[in-house]
Amino acid sequence: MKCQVCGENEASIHYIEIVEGQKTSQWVCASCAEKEGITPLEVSPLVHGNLGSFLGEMLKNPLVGRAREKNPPTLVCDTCGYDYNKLQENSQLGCPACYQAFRRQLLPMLRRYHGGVSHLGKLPKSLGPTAALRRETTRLKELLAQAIAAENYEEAARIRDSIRDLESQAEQTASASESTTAKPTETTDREPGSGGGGDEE
Amino acid sequence: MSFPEIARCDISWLDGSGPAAEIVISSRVRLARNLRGHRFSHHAGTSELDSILKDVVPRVADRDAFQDGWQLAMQECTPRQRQCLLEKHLISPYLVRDHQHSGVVISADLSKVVMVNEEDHLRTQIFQSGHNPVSACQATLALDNQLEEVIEFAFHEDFGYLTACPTNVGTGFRISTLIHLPGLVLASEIEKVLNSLRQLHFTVRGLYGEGSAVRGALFQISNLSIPAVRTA
Repeated sequence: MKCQVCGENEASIHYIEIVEGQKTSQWVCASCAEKEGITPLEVSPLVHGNLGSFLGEMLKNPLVGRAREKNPPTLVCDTCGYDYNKLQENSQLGCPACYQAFRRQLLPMLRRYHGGVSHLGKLPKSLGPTAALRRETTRLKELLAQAIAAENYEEAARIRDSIRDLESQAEQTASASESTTAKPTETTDREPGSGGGGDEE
Repeated sequence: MSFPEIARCDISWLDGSGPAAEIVISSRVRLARNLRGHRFSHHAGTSELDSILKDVVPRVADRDAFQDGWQLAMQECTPRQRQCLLEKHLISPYLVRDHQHSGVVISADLSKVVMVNEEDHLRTQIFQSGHNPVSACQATLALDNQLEEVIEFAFHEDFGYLTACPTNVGTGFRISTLIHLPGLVLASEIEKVLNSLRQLHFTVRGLYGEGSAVRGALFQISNLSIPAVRTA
């Protein structure tokens, strides 16, 4: 496809502009894009497959940079003493508790890299059977808020019912596990203290 | 079993028995896990690393998946033995370089590996022949469940399984296929394909993973972002 600005070069960038809900799109070539000040989104070391430099790039991102300036220069993890500056240098954290200590700084990077900050995958068994129900309830509550905001009340009512079902299931599971804990069976051979799990902060 | 047996042992996933094995040599799933309450490997002191190694290796080796397998401390291996393990994809270049406080547990058929004190405390790898990512994922989840019975991993309800590098946090999964594409290389079409893959958030590496060169038209293609694998 030819560039829709100069009509000569081959277009390589699809420029989409949304102003007050009105979407317009245009195919442009690299040189016209440069003249118009259009910079492609998400062109980062990610697409070149270099994870280390990608993370470093993200942590130097202006948004993150602004957040960093607001923090004291000696931001450290209370648990392991790891310095936030080291994270920027070597793209690694010091201990599991660093995720909580540097949470605010990490969130923008995690959101961009993973597309979200809510874990949807496997849960350790040590968290107990209610953890999955709790997570699903949280997810449905977000969907409920979205449905209400979109004035989709039929969908909202359906989600509300699902939330009620899950909450009642969670209560039943919790009371069942309490009675199991009172009378240990052959399945309760875990180490002492492992039941709580999942709380690194 | 002793080290010479590992050197002689055939690698089961190289037998060409899997789906599309004429193109895809192997499917590999890697899991990153860390112990709760310990500093990550690069930040931990030597005594902490030794204590993790001493504690974790026997627990892993005791699992069903590693019956009749091997447990090796990297420090006790000669440089040539470490090189042999690397070439058989049983350890990573990280363990060759930082071998003083690390170890590996290997299954009898060389298809399951747990590296201890790699970038993360545990790096589990499962290989299967051909294009078999779903089956490899299922086998990895099953092994992870076995490990969770005896090891408590660092986990956060919002972030998932916590890893030294935030790019791995979540499920800690990386799924790779080792694929042989000589036709595309000879026809000079390979760059187009690789660029498309990169735009789809896959990464392309050489035969020995991150930092290794592509040789013999063998490409290791992996996911970049971490998939949220649901447990049934």
